[in-house]
Amino acid sequence: MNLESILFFIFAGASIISSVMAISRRQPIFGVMYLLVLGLSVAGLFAVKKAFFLSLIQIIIYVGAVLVLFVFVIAMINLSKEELIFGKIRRSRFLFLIPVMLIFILILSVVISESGHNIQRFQFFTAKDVSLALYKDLLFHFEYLSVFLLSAIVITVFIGMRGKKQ
Amino acid sequence: MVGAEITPFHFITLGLTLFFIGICGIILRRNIIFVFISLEVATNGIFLIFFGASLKVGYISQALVLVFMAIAAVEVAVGLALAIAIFRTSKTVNVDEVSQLKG
Repeated sequence: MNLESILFFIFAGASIISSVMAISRRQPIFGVMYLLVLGLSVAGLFAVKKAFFLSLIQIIIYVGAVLVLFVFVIAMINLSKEELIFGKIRRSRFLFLIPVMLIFILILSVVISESGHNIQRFQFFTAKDVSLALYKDLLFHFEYLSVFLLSAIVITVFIGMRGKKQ
Repeated sequence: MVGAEITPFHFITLGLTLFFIGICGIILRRNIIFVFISLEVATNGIFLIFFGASLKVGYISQALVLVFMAIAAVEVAVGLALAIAIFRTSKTVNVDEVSQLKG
């Protein structure tokens, strides 16, 4: 095993463990902290394959922006301990078997489709290459994303204002 | 599976695992904040799947990961605004108790 494989399996284990911990905590703030570990380990997984631009964007957007939003919302809602008790699982304990079965089927299909293809290698993923793909091939996505972000701002401000009036 | 080289298969398998951990969280948790945290876990799995595809098809798939990051940020912003609005009107974050729209 070379260094790339070792780093991949370290980050993969960290991401799986932190995601399981993130969805199973009682207090929301600890879930957000484990989500931070998940974001950092996914950024590390990008960096293992030399996609440093994407790795930095992941850290800036996820760890920098989205998680701060979560922390602010948790601070605003400010639940007491009695209100958190309902967070216990009350449904059937075997409900998780449905996604587990689905994942085995999908992994099997990936294994079947993976065999017999040779892999074309791209050594470095720089900001220039990603940006050229974004502006040349995905120009429509880029344009609708701007409208999408604008509508998100309008919706968020509208919802916030309505709640304040009542 | 534990080979000398990391292939797209590894990334796609890991991404699927994270995606279904997130789906489990969405099904099992009742707190609306945890529903959004699970949604983020699933979104990170989707990023890994598309990144694994980019090792095979090139840069266009990585640019799609950037597009999805922006969409995920929008989704979190609108979702958390809705969570605050729900908490203001019904004073709870339990998604089972928010059933005013039921006929």
